Amino acid sequence: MAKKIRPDGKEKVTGRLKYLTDLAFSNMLYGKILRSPYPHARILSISTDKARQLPGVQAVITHKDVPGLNGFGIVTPDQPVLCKDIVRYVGDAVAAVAADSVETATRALELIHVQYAPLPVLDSPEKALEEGAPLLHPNGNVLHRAGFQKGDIESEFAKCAAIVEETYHVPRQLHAYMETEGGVIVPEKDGSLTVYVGTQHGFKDRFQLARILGMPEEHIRVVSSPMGGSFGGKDELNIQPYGALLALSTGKPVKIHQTRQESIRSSIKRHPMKITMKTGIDQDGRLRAHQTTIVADTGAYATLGPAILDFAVEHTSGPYMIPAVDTKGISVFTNNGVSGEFRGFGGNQVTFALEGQIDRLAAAIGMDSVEMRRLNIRREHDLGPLGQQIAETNGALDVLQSAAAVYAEKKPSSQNQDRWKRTGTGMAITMHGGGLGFGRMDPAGGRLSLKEDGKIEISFGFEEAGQGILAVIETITTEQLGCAKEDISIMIGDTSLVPSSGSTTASRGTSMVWHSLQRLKKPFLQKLLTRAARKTGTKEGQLSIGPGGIWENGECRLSFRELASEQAPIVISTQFDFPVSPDPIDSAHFLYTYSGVVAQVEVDLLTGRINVTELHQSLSAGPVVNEMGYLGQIEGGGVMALGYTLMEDVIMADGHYVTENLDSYLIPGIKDVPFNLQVKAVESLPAEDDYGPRGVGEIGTIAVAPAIANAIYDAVGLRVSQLPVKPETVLKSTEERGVLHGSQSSNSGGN
Amino acid sequence: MQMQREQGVVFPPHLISLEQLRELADIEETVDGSIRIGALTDLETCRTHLLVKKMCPSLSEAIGTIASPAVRNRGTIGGNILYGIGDAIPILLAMDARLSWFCENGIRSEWLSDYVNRQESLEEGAILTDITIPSLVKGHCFFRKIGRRETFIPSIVTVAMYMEMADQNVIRSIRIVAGGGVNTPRRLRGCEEMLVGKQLTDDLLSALSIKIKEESALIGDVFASANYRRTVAANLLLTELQSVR
Repeated sequence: MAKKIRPDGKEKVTGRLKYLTDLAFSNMLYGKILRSPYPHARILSISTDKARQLPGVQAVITHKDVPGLNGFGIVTPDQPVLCKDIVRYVGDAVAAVAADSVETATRALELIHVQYAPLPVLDSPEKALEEGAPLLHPNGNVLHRAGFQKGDIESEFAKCAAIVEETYHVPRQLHAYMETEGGVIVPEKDGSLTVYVGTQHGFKDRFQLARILGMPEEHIRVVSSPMGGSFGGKDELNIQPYGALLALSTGKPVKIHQTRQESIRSSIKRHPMKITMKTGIDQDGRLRAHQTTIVADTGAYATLGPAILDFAVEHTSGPYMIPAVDTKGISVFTNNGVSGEFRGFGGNQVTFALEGQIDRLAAAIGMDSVEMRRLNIRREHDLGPLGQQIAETNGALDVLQSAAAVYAEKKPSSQNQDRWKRTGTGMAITMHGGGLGFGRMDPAGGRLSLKEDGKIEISFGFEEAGQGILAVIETITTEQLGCAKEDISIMIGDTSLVPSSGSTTASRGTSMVWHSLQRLKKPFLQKLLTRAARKTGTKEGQLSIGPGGIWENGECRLSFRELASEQAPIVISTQFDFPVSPDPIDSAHFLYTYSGVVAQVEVDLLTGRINVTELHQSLSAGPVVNEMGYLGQIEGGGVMALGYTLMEDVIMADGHYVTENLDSYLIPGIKDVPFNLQVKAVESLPAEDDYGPRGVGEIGTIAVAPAIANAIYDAVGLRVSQLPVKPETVLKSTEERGVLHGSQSSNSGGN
Repeated sequence: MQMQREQGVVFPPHLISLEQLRELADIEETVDGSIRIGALTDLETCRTHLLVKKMCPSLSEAIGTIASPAVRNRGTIGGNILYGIGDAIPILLAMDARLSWFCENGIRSEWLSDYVNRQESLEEGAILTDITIPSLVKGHCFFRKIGRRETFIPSIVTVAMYMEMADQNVIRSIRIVAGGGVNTPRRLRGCEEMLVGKQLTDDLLSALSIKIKEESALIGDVFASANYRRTVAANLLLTELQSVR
């Protein structure tokens, strides 16, 4: 397949592309948001008088200035736009200012006097669940419980030859998108509002903003693309409500662009979880019982916390067939930062635990871990993890075989040129559901038009966030219609111009673009050919669509421009839902992707530092639409997961951020990235599969952490149960077990 | 400075740029074989300068671990030293570098180690003009910086060493330095005394390991404990000593 340059590639790499935070309007004001200095406190009074008197300040708003619902949240609007009596975390907004300059707005924030009475801080789920703990929300401190049971867990445990029980801890991860939250909100002359702010679901933002502003949805236009990264982090509202309220109150465009520190303080993060797994295996190597408890720290507000816990519960047993499963999950409100949507959506956490269990169990019964996985892996016709029918593929076994072939070539751990280093190889596999799941509104749609200027316009409600959706749309559209890329124009991310396609989340995009084209192409081409036949006087059957226009006998007879001229545009739309299981099991997924990961690490015995030297990812997600986009998603996902495994942790102490900026919260640099980074797509699908290419936005992040963890064990014999893996933990373990000392004596003969 | 500004450090209302003093931005070999580096020489020039690469490659290596290429193009060697915990300091201490200051009554010079212990200008208003590194041809230099990722990262542990060997595995002279994070890089003089004139036996090295951890007194933070830093410092220095014996 040819390596295509993505439509937005050149503008991005040359820095010419204008992001929404680059926009400027005349008379534009700058907004700043005052957030709580306390993780939990009662607001006694708010005085804005001094701030209002500061020259250059044009508006100061508090809870009194919210005309509609003072709350937001994609499912449950439990987060106040501007807090009235209680603040529940340090990102809670209390007031906002619009001024002539950023400096004046910043100064004005200092002049707002808020009196607080601090309340006890619930900085862990354990504290929040204690008897007598203050209640953070009317329904208590439990946001959500979820679980899944099948089989007789006790009698299956009784049949086991080995049982492994371990508690895994995973950190709070920052999306670390390059472009922090921001944009410009413009009040229009007709009383409507245009919101130029990146998001992953323009129509959902419009809905939420309408509710806050007490304004009809139709009066709000959300331009939500392009974005400098999101990874789930801009799915929920962030600065939009403040920009909108300030723009309406001043009648002027208001720009807000959060600094990195403001971003870290207020943005959502990946859920920290404590996962306890007890898993049993019989003497033949068959998994028999798998018992899991998940405790998620969801922070101060709900956002999609419940769905993330549901997802984690669903993916707890991964691609394995286990007769008895008992999973219990709880997502708990705390006074920590809000946890929410993040690439992988709860799958990363449980997969780290599960694949850790698998490696430990194989070792416990002295079986090759690949062989053990093969013995227990789901087959094409097996039911999904919640007992639901799923789109049947052989993806799990395909990726296992592919990864096993790489794994078989692994080097023995002693083989390292440097006598103070140890090499190790590890493996992990996973499956990951796409779409929102059964019982959740998950509509999609698209529109094809032949415009008056002869361009074929393809429109979706999706947003470009770096993931490459434009390249996907271009490729699928031109392939399906048979035209050239010059013939089409792509329209996305503007609620006034595009149809609703649902959210740009959950690995939906590629899949929904393909499904839309399946529905649009036939009626659209039919209309084109009918008109062409009339215009040329040729029989429809002899005409076909080709690059540039309508073709007959290997020649272009009529250009699209000629076809379009002097006639009404041809418009075909479609609306449908993301495919779900025929079995009505709440939140269950239907379309899954699979990955098998092999990681090689080098552990420095003197420092405990881990260097990932190779990362191989094999994927099963149907046909590859755009090779470079696919590669980018998987390699990028791999690097993001490498950071999750080795260095990323938004540390909070007593409800305050310790890592406040990217100088202490670390993401991998290019030197941390393995030079040998391989992506292998197993593209085959069963002949009868009619679901096409699946999205790969998340799958590249899921099974990397456990593969690295298993490689560390292979290298130095340390069982990792906490992320990120601290060099300190490694060094302590190797010291205690005399690995370094052994190395000194065993190598004294020269190595 | 950019990082400090982000962290909320308030700058003086006026800053005077010395950038145009090109005389302070050169590198030369002096008659006695030492190297003089102008304080305003940018880090990248220092790193790639032929004299530095030839005469003190460890300094070139150490400078290569400072921040990122873009920062090294702007930042100067003098700035790195005056930061007090800059990554160039440990190796320069091991090399026994001297500093020259432009003072009220002309140029005054002092040992880098004296400055580092004091952490302020030689006298009020003094301007650092250059750094002088003595000839190191007789000895062996060593430098390692450990951070929380591979590059573009502050140090958590940095060690540096210069030693000259006599015959039969005996150390003639040695300078050992440890630092990292908020720990000001310091000579470990007690460790040095343990080694001078001695043969590098296993017993001596074991004793040295304990002494390094104790004397370096590195303190920890939320990202890396004191114990970890001290252990790593000892491991790195010890294995280097083992490798030369």
